[in-house]
Amino acid sequence: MTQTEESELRDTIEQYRNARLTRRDFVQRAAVLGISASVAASILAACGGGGGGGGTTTGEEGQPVQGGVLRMGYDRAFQKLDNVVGPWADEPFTAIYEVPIIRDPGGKFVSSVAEAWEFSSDGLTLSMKIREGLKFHSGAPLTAANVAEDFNIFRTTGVTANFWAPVKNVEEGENNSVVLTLSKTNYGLIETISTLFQSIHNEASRKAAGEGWGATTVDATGPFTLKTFKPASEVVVERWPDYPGSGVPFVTNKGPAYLDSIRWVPILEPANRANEIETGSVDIVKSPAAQDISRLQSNDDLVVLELQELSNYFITIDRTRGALGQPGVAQAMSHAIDRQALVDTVFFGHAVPTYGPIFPAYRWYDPGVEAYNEYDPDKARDLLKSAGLSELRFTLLTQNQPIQVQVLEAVGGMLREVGITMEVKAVEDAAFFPDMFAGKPDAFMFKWLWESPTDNMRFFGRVPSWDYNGNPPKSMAGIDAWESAATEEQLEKACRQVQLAWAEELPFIPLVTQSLVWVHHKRVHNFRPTQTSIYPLFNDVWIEA
Amino acid sequence: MSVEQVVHVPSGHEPARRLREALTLLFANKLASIGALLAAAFVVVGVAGSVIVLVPGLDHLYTDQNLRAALLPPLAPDHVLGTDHLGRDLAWRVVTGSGISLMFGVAVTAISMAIGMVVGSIAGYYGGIADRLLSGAIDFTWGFPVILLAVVLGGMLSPGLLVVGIAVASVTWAGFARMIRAEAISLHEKEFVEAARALGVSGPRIIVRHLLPNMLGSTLVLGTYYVAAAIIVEASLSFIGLGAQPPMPSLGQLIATGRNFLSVDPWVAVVPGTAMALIVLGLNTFGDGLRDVFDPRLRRW
Amino acid sequence: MIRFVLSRGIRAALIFVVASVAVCYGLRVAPGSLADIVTNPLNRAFAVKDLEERLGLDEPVIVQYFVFVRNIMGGDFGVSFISNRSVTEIIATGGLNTLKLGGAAAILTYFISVPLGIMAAARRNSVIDQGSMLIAVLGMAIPNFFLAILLVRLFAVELRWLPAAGQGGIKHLILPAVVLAAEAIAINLRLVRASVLEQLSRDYIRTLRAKGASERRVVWIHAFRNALPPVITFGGVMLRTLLGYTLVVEVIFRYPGLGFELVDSVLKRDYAVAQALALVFIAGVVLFNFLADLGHHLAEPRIRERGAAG
Repeated sequence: MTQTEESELRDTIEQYRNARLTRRDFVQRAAVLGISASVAASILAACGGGGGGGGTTTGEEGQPVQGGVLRMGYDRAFQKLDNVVGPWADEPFTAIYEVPIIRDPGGKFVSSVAEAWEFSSDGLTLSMKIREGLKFHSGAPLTAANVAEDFNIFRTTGVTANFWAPVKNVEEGENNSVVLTLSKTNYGLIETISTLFQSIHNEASRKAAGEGWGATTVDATGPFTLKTFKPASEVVVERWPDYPGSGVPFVTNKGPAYLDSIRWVPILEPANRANEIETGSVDIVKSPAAQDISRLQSNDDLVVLELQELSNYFITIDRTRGALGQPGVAQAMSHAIDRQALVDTVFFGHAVPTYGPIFPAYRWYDPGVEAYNEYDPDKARDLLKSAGLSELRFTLLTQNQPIQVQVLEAVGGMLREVGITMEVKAVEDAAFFPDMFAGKPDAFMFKWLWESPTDNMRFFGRVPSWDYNGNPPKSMAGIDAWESAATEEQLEKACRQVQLAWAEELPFIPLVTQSLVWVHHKRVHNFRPTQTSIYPLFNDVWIEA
Repeated sequence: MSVEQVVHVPSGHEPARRLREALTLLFANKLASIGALLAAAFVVVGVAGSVIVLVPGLDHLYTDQNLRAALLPPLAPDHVLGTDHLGRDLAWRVVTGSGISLMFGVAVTAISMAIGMVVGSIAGYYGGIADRLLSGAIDFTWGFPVILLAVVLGGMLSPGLLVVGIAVASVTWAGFARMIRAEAISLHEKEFVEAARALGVSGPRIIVRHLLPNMLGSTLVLGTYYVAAAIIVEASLSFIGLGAQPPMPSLGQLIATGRNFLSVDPWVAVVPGTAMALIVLGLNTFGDGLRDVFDPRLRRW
Repeated sequence: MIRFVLSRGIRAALIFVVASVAVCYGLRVAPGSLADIVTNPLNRAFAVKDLEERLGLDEPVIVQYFVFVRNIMGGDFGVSFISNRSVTEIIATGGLNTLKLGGAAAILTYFISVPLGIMAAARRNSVIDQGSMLIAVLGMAIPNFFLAILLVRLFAVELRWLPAAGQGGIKHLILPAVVLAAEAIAINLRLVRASVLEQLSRDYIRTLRAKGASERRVVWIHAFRNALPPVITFGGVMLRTLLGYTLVVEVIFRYPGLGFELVDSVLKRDYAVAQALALVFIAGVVLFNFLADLGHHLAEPRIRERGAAG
């Protein structure tokens, strides 16, 4: 890179930072300077979030005002706010619950309910010191005993119980600490412990609430308490005046929250999300339709924030099923897919192509995956030919959601170009999940959304089964390496190993990672989503009267 | 079914003259003739669309995508009505959608018409206990909100065209039955029916040979409205996710997808929306015209 | 009269029983299950079994039905499996909202279609007549969901006069009520116009006019009064149709009425809510049927059978 090019790049980054450039423009300009999209994306990530018309202002924004109702437009129908067996961790989770450990904006693990933690030198014991003086919404004090009790629930009946398998025992230790005993080294446990489904709650209250847990009752430690739960129309939380303060270093407000309450409404139709923030019926909206983003960016009352979502769209094909299981077929399909075109057309540039199983903004993303799965229809045809297939036809099952269907329609057109006919069957969730888990369809599409990306491969490698996914030896070895890593270095190495193996063997075929876009009205302040969490924290947020 | 059959009248009128009269009447009514033309145009479009759907190898017309030419406005080169969000030709998609919607409407209406004819003529011709039972069923079913039924059925089976079809047919048959029963009662007393009965012609035979041909006119009128209604119901349900499931390009689906792009390219929703409105308009005004022809008593409507 | 009410009442009850069996059974044999909605895919195998046992979903359908009937008899509609709200409360709040919306739509329908229809009939082929026929034609041709997106675009997004969706004051009611009423206005307009026109051609009108009654009196009092029966009869059909369309309109406008809740619970397989709401709707249909019959009975003692056109 010449000196002028370098200064031009610096200029470009500066412009992007100051929000004079949209993300798309940035990537385009960077491309002119010979920088690949993924490098550009990582620069963007390093810039701390994405740019938008309104820009990302992370500095101090005047004196916070106490009070007010924040109205949030959410892009899904709400599920029970149940941290133990709930079907989905929705946005109110970060308002009413707190996790033991949390990821800071750079991806480093920092304190929340736990103030310190440490693996023993043999990696077989993890001790975790719990903050003093904490309590639950109900007023009951929170001690290490409560956390130990929760962990025991999580590892036996929780959503991520599988990921707790190496933990033999959890008990209260000295000095308000929790001691986890492992049967083998598993540094990745920290990753799991920092996900929303390990949010700390008062088990006694959960037992008493029964079916009402997560709906009529939540007794946890977050800065807000649950007020109303009408999943189809609204979820309301209220400030908890007795909140002892956040233990999270990047939360600046150490007292109770500024907002009186937060009211979420589900806005399921993508186009309506832009409509509703423009017409002022909500103050913040998550994931407006991609095609509306530029319009929102040009609105002076609004601020558009763009990050890479901790997610990935992928297609899984049944390798046990005749032609689909032929060597090279998954690769042929992958080469037939023009991911950049998907990004440009379906997502209007608000997404990134993924050639491996993890999105580029992840701290351990391995750009090596980009060598696989590039768009090459000729190669796809060759691979099909060497698999002895002149034609391939299968039916793919998907959830009936607008974006999913659009992606699949576009992919279907691309596959047709190389002689593969993919029929799409879109069904509602209640019909999708049983079939998917039973391995009934020839193929299915799904979007994972999870804070620990490697966990998705651990999970979806086994969905519906490793057999269905072709028992890919290198990927399985990579998962093993992750699951037995003893240090952060080993964990990172395993993560890269899995990514590369996955990109080569394609137990599932990654497609794109869409942008996580938040739009907020300018009267909302300190709303700071991070690249490393699915949802922002709400304790700092305040709203002008 | 030809117009000639429809106006078949056994009381001695000369069919050709009746037909001429009918056509004159139809075209004397300006609105009705516009409707007839519109409906005829869309029947052509619908047939073309059905051919595209049914004949293998033609699907490329509406599925061929060109992501580099997405969301073109109408009158773009090679795309008269522009393209959709994946660069597919909107004109072909609307033709296909009209085909699917019309096929759906006609098929469902034909089925309910058949059921309605059987039930209605039995109830009306035989009367008595059969009539009381069947009338009860007709009265309850007639006017039952189709959408409610389709939503509940959609929950029981998997949502899709089939479910909507079942829901529509399970309600609209009663509309036909109700009307045919009333007509059968009045025809029952007519001379030619009594004459046939006196000659010892069997009940079913009288129904088939004498009653039904005389009702074809009004049945057809009602059918026209029901085709339009079925199309709207299907589209409404598609719009809230309980009708035709994507990627099947029924008109309702096209509008539902297109509305997401209203801010960037309104045509993607407006073109299929207009097509739908025109089809319904054509069918309704055509129906009005037909009614004027077949049922002068109701001409005032 | 009493006999009429009694016989129709028995029939309504019978229909209701049949419908409740159908709904209860149908929703339970549906593909897909509540368990897949309210439990996490990640620990599905464990959670599904546990959940089904707790909720009694592992019992035979027939047992579940009688449990349901027994509970209803005791006034207990159960609780939503998802939100844990009592179904009675959902029906109460949703029902109130739907009543507001349906009421607004019904008022809109009659306040627009009746005067306009009479004016159109009184001044045949005038601008008013042609204009109202245009409204009638468009109202029937434009599907209400398409009308909804056009109106939202215009009045909410472009002009910012009205909210795009949601629930709140009168402002939130306007767009959904207009959309819901559009088709009914169109049909009623035609009906009122035709009915008044027919009366105006009658002899008694000529007599009245000859007697020197003012034209206004002739049209608005005499002709209209005699033109009412078909409008009233049609009212029953119209209310049923409106009831059906609330499902679509409430979903489009995210308006938390019964229709919205029903569609949501059906899609989520929340049986307790879905079956109760379906029954509430069917009860509504049966009631409207009954009222229409009654109105018809009172308006025209000699029940006139007529084609269902329109």
